[in-house]
Amino acid sequence: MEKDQLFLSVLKENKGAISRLCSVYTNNKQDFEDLFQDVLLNLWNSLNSFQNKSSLSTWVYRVALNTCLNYKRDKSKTLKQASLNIAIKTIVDFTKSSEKALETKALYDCINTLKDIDKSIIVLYLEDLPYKEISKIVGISENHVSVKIKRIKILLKNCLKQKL
Amino acid sequence: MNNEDLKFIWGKHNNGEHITIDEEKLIDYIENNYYGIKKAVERRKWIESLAAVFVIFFFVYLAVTGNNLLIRIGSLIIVFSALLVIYKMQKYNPHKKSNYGNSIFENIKESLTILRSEANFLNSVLYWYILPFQIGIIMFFLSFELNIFTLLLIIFSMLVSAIIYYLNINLVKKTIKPQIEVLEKNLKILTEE
Repeated sequence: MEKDQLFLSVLKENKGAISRLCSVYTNNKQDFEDLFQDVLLNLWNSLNSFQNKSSLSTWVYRVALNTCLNYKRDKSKTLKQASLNIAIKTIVDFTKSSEKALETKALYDCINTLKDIDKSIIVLYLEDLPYKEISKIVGISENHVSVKIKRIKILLKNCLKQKL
Repeated sequence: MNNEDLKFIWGKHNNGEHITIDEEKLIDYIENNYYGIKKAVERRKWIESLAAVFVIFFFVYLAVTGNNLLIRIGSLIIVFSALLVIYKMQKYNPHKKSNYGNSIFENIKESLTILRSEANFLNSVLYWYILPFQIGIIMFFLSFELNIFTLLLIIFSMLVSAIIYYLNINLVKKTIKPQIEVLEKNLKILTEE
């Protein structure tokens, strides 16, 4: 499969997941679009180095989360900006709380109170990935992942109790 | 609220349908514009190197034909410092990024290595850029008759050097160090039991 076809099929299959990850690390539409574009560019640039050692979806989560975690740092350095808006349009601003149901808004608010790294781990859990996959994406042992998820879930549920 | 409820709320909210992508335009942009910008950066790097090569040729000529020892030594030092700057700039890539396909843990470690070397590079600017060039320039100016004009030129060059030094140190202090601290904190969170 040619690179651009592979890229587009990766994008088609993972657009929702990428969008959910980006919305956790941004607070407004502009930042969301910038980060979404950054993820796409990094997916394209990293596609050549994909070595089939992990599944394509694991790799997509890695690239997307690394981009999200590096977003603030790389913001000043990136070479692109804005031009991808020609090809990508965001119809609804999901970063606005009015677009979310009450419980979704509460969940997002509570995730936002977590540390950036903990956000990554819980988001992967919420994406329904098995611990083995999460461990491959994060780079820590499965046991460590399960301990961390347990702790983060307690924080999240306590926060949700207060909000709902 | 149980775990499945959480996953359900998370998944139902945002499935990416609010984003429309024109595939043709996207590929066209990435293949042309994005790499076009990268090429422009490469081109600028080459132009800067060519300018340095021109400076080298000019001062090599002065080092060979100069009519006194000061102008010859000053010119040689400037040539040496220009070569040092070219070498350092070619080795250092300000747009270097860590491998995004790595795990988050590996990515943080790699980013830390890149940022630390960036900080070292900018912190040492005094020794490989400012001092050698400044010494060469002062010797070069002193080879001419010492008057108010040459004195002003020396003071001006020292002022420029001081500003360059301040900008670099400030960049490390205000931008790079806080980023290193964030990454170190993230690494600590990942590794703590």
